Amino acid sequence: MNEELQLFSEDATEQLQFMENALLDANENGIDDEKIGEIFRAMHTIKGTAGMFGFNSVVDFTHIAENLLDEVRQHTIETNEEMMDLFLKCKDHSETLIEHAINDEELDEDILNNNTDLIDKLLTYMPSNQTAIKQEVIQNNEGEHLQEMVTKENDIWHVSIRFSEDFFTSGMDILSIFNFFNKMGEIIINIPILDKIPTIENLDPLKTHIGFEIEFQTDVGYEEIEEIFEFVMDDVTLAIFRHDDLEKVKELLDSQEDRLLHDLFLEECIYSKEELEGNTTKEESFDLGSIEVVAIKEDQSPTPEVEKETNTIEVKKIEDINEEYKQDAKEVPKKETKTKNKKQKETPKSFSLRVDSTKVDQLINQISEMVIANAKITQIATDKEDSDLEEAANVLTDMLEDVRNGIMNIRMVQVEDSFVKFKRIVNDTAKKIGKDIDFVITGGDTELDKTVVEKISDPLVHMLRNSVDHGVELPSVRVEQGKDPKGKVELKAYPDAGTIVIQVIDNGAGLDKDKLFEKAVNKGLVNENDNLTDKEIYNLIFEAGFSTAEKVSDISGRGVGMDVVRRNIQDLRGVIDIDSTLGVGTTFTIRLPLTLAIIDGFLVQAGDTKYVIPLENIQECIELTDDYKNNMDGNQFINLRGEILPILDVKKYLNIGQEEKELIEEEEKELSRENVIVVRYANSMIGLQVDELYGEYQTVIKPLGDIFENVSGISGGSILGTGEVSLIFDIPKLIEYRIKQQ
Amino acid sequence: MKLESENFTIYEVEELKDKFLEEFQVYKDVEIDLSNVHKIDMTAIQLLLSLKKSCKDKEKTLEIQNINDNIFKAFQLSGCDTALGV
Repeated sequence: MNEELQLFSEDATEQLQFMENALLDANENGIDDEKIGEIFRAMHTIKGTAGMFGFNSVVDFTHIAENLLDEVRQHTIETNEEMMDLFLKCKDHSETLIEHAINDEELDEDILNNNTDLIDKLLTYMPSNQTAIKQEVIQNNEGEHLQEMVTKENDIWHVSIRFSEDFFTSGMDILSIFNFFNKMGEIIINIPILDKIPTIENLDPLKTHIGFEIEFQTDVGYEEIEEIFEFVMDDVTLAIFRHDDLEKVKELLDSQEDRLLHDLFLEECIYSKEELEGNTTKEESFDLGSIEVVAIKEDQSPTPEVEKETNTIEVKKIEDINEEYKQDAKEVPKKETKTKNKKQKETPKSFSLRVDSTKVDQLINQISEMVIANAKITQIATDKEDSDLEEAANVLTDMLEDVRNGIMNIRMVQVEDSFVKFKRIVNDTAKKIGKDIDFVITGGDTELDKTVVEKISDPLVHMLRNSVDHGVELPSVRVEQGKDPKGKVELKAYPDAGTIVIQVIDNGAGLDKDKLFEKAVNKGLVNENDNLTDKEIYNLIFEAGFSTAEKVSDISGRGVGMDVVRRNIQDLRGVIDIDSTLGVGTTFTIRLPLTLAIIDGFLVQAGDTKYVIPLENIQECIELTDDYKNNMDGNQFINLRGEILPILDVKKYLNIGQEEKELIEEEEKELSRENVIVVRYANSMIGLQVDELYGEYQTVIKPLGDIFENVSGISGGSILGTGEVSLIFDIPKLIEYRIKQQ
Repeated sequence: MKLESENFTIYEVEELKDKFLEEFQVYKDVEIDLSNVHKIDMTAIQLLLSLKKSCKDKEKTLEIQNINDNIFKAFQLSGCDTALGV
């Protein structure tokens, strides 16, 4: 998929999500103008951008939906639940259409049928004479009459476009842009600017030399016209203004190096000599612009084929129009233009940037490099006992920290948007199995790394479905137990001590410990005589192949799932925990790191190399005293408070050369103590034998090169303040290795 | 010369530029036959405009022949129909 298409896909998905959120919200809390506006904008934007790519199926469909939404927006039609439902279906259908369009797939019969079906339904809501021009008369203060259409529906805009040299290679064809212009209105005159095109000997055919000056008649406003170029904004130089805004014309001409454009405007009769030389008053020019429109409207022929003669024809028509019109037209467009201009100035657009996340990662990396470079300066300052330099370096350290936090912040997004889409999943699931559930989201404004948010989505969906399917009881059962027939599922997020906690809480039946244990015994996961704590029993549901549902439904209960959920969460370096009370409900608690780019670790040394162990895996640290060593008796186990703990000697595992090792060992005996770090993953624990412990250490994870691809047990690298490289342990892999050894 | 390919787009323009240039250097009156061409984009139009400009400079003529509806519409849409003399 090329870059533009990728952008389109992302944008469309986002718009559809907005739409769905607004619709669901409307279903719950009632519809208001803001929501309708949001839904309308989603359809409108998708139509617009799809048009750029020539995705006609999408444009045609969204256009009809947009029309109806526009009516709703203007309060000409009342909404009802049925209509909201229809819009929801339209959203789904648009999604399908977009998907097919992007993948260049043919639409199958089902989709086509659905398409016609939805369009029919949409059309039934439309007022029958919608296309007829509104003849409403506006009464203004002076008592003058004015047809609304005169000013509002059709304006002529001048669009001046120049392209960057590399525009062609961006993948967007300029002809598609023109096609899209014609969808939004009509290009009345299109003048290609040819003077920059070299002769064929000197032409690089892949470089863009052509430019355009367009007279565009449309009922849309400045923003919409500008939006046409949304995806290519970096590669074009635009000037968009109303045809009759002579100041802007002057501005445009003044920006030119020569008078070519000036002469061209005259030659093509776009502007008269008087207009360009400024010998005319403004009133007159407004007059011309707006009356042109009137003339076309009256004539009911909005397609003047005689492009170049447009101006002269319109001028002739001016005579046909009675004086009254002239007066009105003079007054009103002037005001409108003014207010519009004002508006644009007053409300600076707050906008968001779409940035490739690798760019942000790169920044983080560079900042880490700077931190390292700065550490060197500090080192030098210390060595030379230069306190001034040291102080300066400290200031720099603080600032770098700020910058790093700032950059990390870019990756943060509110979980709200991602959470809201679960509403539908919960509602649909509940409806399907006849349960009544109140779904509550709290802490939607909690911020989390975007990658984490995306990756946590699937596990959460699974857990929510589980809660709805297995957790909350059927209304009849709930009534029997004296509970509210309406169940409650809560999705909660909050920051806690440098991590983010996400909870799925239901007030359903709770987990039955005895049943779980019995089942685990039957499946051979645990021994009948094992003495397990409550937590350990609950955690059994994360074992592969474990399902407590007595009945397997198509929603959940096949026992593939919770183990995947746990694995997904662990991949994000998170942990999941269960708490449950029989008859009262169950709470799943997920604890996630704020970001994947930074790790909270524990710095240790084995041999000459330093290693980082993720803090969340560490259970405790013990010193490998002679007592332990004597008890080991040559085995790789120690007795930790009565339990057997397998020990993995890090140096041995990483095959530090024998000679070297002996050397180190000798040194060690004299210099350092040996330590064991007890690490835990899921239900397994092992001890890592290392030499030196340095303590907690927060660091930026850096990927290792391809050479390390096959080194199992190492998940990444990190650069220490001193410039040394440290390796980050992949604890699950190490545990797996050690346990297999047994 | 007659274009063989159905498409006259960004993927073909580099090769066609060389052919056009040859044609331009050899003949006094350049003829481009588009009867096979069904798809065109702005790179192609720009190439034709450049050829046209070159012909004008050297007082040669350029005739673009056998333009089908699609192509003609594209010329019109870009406003280049007049400049190309079609």
